[in-house]
Amino acid sequence: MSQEAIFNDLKEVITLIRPNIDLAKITPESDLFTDLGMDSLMMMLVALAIENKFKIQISTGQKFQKVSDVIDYISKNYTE
Amino acid sequence: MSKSTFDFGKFFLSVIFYPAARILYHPQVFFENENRKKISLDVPTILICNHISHIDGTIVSYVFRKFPLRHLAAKDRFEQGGFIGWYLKKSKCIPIDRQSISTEWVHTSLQALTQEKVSLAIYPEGKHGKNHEILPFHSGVTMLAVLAQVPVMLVYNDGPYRVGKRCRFMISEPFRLDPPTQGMTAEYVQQQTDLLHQKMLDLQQLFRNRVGK
Repeated sequence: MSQEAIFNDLKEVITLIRPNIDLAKITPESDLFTDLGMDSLMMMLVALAIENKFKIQISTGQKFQKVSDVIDYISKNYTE
Repeated sequence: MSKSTFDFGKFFLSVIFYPAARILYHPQVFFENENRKKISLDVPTILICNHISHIDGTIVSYVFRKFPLRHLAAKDRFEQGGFIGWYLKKSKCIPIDRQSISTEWVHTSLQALTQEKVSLAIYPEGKHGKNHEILPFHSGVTMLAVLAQVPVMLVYNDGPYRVGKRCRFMISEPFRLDPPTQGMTAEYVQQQTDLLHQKMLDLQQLFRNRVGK
């Protein structure tokens, strides 16, 4: 799966959890917390949604700061 | 010859901690429903408990001793080492990693509820409230209740624990959260979490009105 496809799916996940978020703000370089205003609750929901959508498990101790971190993680762990 | 494993957690609970809880604190249970005379957990249920002391888990376990029950506790408590860390591991507590977005505790909890058919006790304040204050709830309890689709039950502990003084609980009737109509959005989860917190405050007030301070 291409990184672009992963990014598009990830945007969809984020907008499901935060329906009112400005889509233009979601870029691979966006900081999840300072740019997108995510908090620990939202990140947990994102993690659960990612696991469900991509059939992967977020490993213990995993932390994400930018959207690109999430894309990279999914890319490394996703198997078609 | 089969090799059996000794359940240290169960041993300590039944031989040491339960008798100690009975002798030292003699828990007394009241019910939101005045017609109810005894605790009933017909189906796996999430028990939402306020948090006043590090011995809450043992006392709640004693109150619900007739039912299979596991507790959720902060992972950093497990890693404290010493007796508490050892005991939490042996008593099959489920560790919640508060430092990362690890979902392992969610999956373990779901498995406990839906496959092992045990109830779970969770302390959503995350830390001890003082002077009967019930702190705002963390939202993990809502996520769990919605994903597992199990009822929740509030367990109000009047505290504090004083040797020789009965510790008193009030237990609500089980209820279910209203399911999300537009998916599990952050707004929905926060609203339901705030609702649970308010219900616990209401239960505390009911206890005070009916039983007194």
